[in-house]
Amino acid sequence: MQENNSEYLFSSITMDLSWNTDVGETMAGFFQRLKAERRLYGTRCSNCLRVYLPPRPVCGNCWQQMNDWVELGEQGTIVGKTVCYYEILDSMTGKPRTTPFVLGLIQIDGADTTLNHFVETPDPDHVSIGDRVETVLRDTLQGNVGDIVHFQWLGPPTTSSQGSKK
Amino acid sequence: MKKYQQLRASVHLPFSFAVGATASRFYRALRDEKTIYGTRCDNCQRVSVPARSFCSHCCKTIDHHQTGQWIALPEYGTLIGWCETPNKDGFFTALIQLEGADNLLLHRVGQCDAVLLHKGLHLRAAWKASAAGTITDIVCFKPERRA
Ligand SMILES: [Zn+2]
Ligand SMILES: [Zn+2]
Repeated sequence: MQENNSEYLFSSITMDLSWNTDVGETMAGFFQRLKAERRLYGTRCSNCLRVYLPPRPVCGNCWQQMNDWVELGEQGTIVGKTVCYYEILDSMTGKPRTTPFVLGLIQIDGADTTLNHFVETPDPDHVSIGDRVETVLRDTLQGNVGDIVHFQWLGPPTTSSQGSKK
Repeated sequence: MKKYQQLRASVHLPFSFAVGATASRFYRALRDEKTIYGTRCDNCQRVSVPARSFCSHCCKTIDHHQTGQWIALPEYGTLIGWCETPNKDGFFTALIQLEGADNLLLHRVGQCDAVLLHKGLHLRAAWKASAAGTITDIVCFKPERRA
């Protein structure tokens, strides 16, 4: 006897995952300053003067504890980028992000390290390394990672836009 | 102890996957016949439940079209192991030895007082009224007095 039913079934599962994380003293300092002043702050090593954004408690070069907070610029430079055509779940919303979109490594004026974030642009293919971006914060800050919405693409550097660079 | 700022995060992950030919037939039988099927390996004669496309003991393929290798198992068996912490829905995740099977079925026990649970407890499948072709067509395995 043969069994020839070819009705194939699907299994549908939805997971809702929620969790709390202690951000630690350093990130808490960053979020509190961001919320109070609408400014990005980094930590500076008193030994090698390297400025970290995102801030870190200990300098990666010198292993020295950092207690100095430095106010950083509102703009930055793209030092790496990728154009994504594959729909991924946006970690901010849990929903797919429309493609294409640009992910960039951004060096904020005054920082020595880079941030990985979304670059908002009308033309993903024309974003180049060295282009300038501006930080876009949400209107009502909550003191968490969602406060930085994205970095708005400004275009190639002009002499005036690089004025605040360290 | 110093208390630091906490971040709350949540993600909503919806997904769907094709269960494949063997599991489709297994789930169709739950839905349409209210029958739990296992598969018997031609080589070692072991019966696995749920039905599988190969023998996990000797890796031999089990053709999902061959009715002969598909064994209708009884809907009763005994409780072998369980998790003492109830799931959110009040059931207990459990390993159940169905009569005629050579492995344990992972399902849940419930609709009973937790203190009743013990190894060797006689259980019978409690079926959902509206079957959908999923493993939860069996709501749970429920303790039953041996006839
Ligand atoms: Zn240093
Ligand atoms: Zn076998």
